[in-house]
Amino acid sequence: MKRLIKNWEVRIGGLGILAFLIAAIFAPVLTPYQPNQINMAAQIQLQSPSWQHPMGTDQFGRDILTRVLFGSRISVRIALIVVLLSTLWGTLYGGLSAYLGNQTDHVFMRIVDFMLSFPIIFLYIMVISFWGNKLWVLIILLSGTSWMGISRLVRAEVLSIKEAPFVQAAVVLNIPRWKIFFRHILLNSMTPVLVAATMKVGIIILLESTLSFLGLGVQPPTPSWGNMIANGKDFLIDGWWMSVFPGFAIVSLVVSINLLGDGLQRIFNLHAQ
Amino acid sequence: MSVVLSVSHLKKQFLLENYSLRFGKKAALRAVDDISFELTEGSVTGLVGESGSGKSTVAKLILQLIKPNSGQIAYKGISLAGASKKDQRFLRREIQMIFQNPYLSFNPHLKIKSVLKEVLKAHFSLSRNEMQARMVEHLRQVNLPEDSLEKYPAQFSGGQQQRLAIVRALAVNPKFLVADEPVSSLDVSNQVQILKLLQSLESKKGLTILMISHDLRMVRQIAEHVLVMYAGKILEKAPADSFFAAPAHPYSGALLRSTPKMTGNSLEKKLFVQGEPPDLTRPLPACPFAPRCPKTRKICFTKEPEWKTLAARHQVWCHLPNNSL
Repeated sequence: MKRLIKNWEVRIGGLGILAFLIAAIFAPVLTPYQPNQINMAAQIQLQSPSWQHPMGTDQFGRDILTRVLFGSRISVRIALIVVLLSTLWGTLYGGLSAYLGNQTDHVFMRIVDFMLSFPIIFLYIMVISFWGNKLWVLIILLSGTSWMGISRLVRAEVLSIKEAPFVQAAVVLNIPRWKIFFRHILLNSMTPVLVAATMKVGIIILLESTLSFLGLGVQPPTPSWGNMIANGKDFLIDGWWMSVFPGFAIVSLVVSINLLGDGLQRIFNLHAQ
Repeated sequence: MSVVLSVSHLKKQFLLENYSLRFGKKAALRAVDDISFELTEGSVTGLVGESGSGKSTVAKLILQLIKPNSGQIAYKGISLAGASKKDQRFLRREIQMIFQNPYLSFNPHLKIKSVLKEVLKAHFSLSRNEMQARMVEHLRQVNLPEDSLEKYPAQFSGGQQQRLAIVRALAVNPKFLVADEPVSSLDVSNQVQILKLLQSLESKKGLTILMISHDLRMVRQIAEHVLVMYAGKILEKAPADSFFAAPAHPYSGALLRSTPKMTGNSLEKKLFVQGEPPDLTRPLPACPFAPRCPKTRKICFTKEPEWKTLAARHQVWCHLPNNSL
């Protein structure tokens, strides 16, 4: 634990993430405006950053800072749920594939190959045009298309760990198979998974923003960082603050997360030596 | 004395991936090639041989970590291959193993307490207090303090880890212990300690021990019988006294003489076995040791040797054993 806090990457990344979490949780308290509060008074529309509106306003006179704060709620929530689901599924899938081995492994991995070679943006467009872009559809879509990397990672780990002497010892001692799988094999392959999952949060936030930018993700007027950037692209010259601040939010959160991931990796590598 | 374990015509091949550009069959490595032996109850048997001679494969076959291609292993009359579920549970309790590297044989994320609890739960139904009492008692047998339970494997020294491995194996009250190079990763003072511990357990609990080692000095200290393996074959089976007094197979003799000795002020450097161990994927001559043997005759390449009995229970698989010259 001490070593965790001493590492500068973990410290800065952790602080950054903490700041975003606080912002997301306390959004209503932190700002006097509502995210969808429209103010059509001409002097309020497209206002550049000022003391009243630190990040300016958009074409409907909505406060950008307020929308960035509320947008973080959606983006972070989607990212966390998606990472949790896809990591759990990917770990179980890859782990079982390697543990059962032989034919099972072959079939499981060919499915992964298929998933990886599928044009996912096309899939998103197809599914969303079918079921509409509800939040749960988005979550299932993103989780369902982002577990393959984790499962390959876990598979590789498990393949080597299942030959380890302590696993053989467990077999010899007649420990039940499921216990060997979860307690001895999966538990020992969690380190890279933790790091990969941390990095994944950033990737999912970017992916969600991409989708929202394309109009496939979170729909206006609900603010999300992606659709805010999309909205701002028409006012890039007159209202640069409309896309720059949400973009800055994305970049700083993703950088924080990646810093944390890198730091964790460094610590675990040290730990392993 | 009764036979505990009997192995007959055991064979194990490993198929190697074909990495050459030519298509063809996978090469088969004959790790264990038609071996037979018997172990008597309450004895310590040393299985010796160079690296790659198939010793550890024999251990894994006995522990059912891998399956043989052909041949039989029977423990107390129960054939391992066709054992029922109930027999299988019995076998898993009776036969235990100690691994070469004690640290690698422990899950690094589990405290000793969790390790032992898991083992006890898998074999006995005990209350909390009984479990605790058992664990402490087992630790005391190997002179480890009670607070070891709260520690992780990495917090122990190599010798302590090997004692913990012994505790874990003995927690299920086995009758037969396979020790695969139990001391080769330890320093000398710990080696003696572990060997003495194994020896005392053998006499106290009536354990039968198969000790696998490449180090004849270790085997000499505790073994009552010796089996010599080379290239997947057993070359000599003998009681320890008569083996160390007069090894019959030329290979055994060379192995014995190659143990480094301090003579005067210099270390003896002479190599007693020329050449390298054979490639087990290629066909070997009738006697696999013939190409390296100092006494080779033509017959060694053409005709398989037969088992010759030299003295009481001292058998050798050679055309030209030492005693006959």
